Amino acid sequence: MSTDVEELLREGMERFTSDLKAPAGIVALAARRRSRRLALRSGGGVTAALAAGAVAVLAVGGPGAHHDGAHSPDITTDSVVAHVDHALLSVAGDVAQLSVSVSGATIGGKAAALTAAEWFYNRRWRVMIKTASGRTVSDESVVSTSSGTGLTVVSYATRTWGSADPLRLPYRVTQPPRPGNCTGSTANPFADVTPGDLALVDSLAGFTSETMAQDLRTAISCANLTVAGSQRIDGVEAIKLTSTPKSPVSETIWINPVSYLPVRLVINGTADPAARTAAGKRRGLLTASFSWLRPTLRSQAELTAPVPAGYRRVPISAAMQAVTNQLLRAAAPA
Amino acid sequence: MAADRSTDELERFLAERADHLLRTAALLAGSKDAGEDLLQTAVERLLPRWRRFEGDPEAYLRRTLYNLATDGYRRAGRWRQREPVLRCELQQTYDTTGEIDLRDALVRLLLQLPVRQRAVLVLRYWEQLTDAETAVVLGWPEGTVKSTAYRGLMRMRELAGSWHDNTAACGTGRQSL
Repeated sequence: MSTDVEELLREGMERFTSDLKAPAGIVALAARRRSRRLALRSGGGVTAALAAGAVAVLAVGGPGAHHDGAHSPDITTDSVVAHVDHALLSVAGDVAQLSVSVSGATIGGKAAALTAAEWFYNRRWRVMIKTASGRTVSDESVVSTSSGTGLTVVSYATRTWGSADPLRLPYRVTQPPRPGNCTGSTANPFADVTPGDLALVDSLAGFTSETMAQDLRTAISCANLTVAGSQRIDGVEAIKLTSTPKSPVSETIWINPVSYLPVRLVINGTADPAARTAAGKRRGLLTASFSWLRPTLRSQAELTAPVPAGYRRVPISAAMQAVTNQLLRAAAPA
Repeated sequence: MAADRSTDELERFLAERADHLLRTAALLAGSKDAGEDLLQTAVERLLPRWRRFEGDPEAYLRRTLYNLATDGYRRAGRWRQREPVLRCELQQTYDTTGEIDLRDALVRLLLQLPVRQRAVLVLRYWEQLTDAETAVVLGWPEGTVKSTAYRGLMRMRELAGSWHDNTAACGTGRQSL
């Protein structure tokens, strides 16, 4: 690499970071995280007893136990999230399976309601998108290894598929917009999705038990989540965590009271202001249901998008364009 | 014995230097969010030492950033495992002949490198340290720094070499993931 290129690399680094500003109160943020970590460490050894205690309190309607969204100061959010944190660590090696539905989003200015089945495991993930009527639009899977990343895209409308190593293409790499600090915005599944962009149901892309634990830690250290009693979800009286008014995102998370694993996440929101149509504010709703699968051969097989027999291989750009076109057709005028 | 240092003093120091440290952290971690996370973790490491801290806090934080990025942070399981979202550049805005785009492209290649190679290149070309100075920051032998930098640059060259073959495949402008 020539010296000129080295200089260009340095200038590129300058440009990449030129607009970065450290958040205010970074010492306070770090102090909160440290306090939180110490609390988690000290509570780790008695997790089982605390878990049993928390469930009992919920079951008998003990001090602070409320239902239907009432604030619950005594079943502390800290203790619930500590258990969740521990539980998520225990399933860090599992395959996370999500069933996601999104309404109120837009694609190219058109309202869209889509569903997706998603699987995440280590550095592999797969997203299968369907229309609200159940028609499969696309199936995409990604495998990342130290030697590269492989992407497969299957377009069901055109019965074509493509594959490539996206990291060998001139892609821009960005992190999913999950909350990194108290004021940061979370994933906005309701922002307008342009024809050149498919962030809609991929807004949880890269989800792992670890990232969810981290997001919960961030939310709790920022006092963005609070216990709001319990609610029956799929036959289980799940612990309900809701966002506080200061939270940058309106969300509710239901926790299994025995395993302390999240079972459902609902995010309410509106489209990004810049993307709102003449219809004005439109409420959006993302619902994600979670399952945790042991990493067996069968569950790991779910991480690969299968190519149906008879589908024709095309350049990956063509497969991606076909998926985009199908999504645009599936969207209704807003 | 050093006098106790107040938290206010740390806040004043970070008010001046946090932006620069964040820029380094973002280059190491690959994004602003991950960079903030990395920087907060480094500050978190400094906090319990701060009252009796002696020396240059910037040097300590910088070294902590690099150590966290290259080893401890990942090992401790706090590294964000999120799969990066890959956005396909809009073809009309991608000018492979333009120097500005070349600069951006080089940074994108940098972010694809293994973190140890990336850390060395950030130290060498962002911090503009010598091999010897880089070795001190990372606590590595100078020979390891040189070989890691060489491998990183070679990997970037390989990746850059594959662009021309693949650029056409990214013509839809659609975000892939």
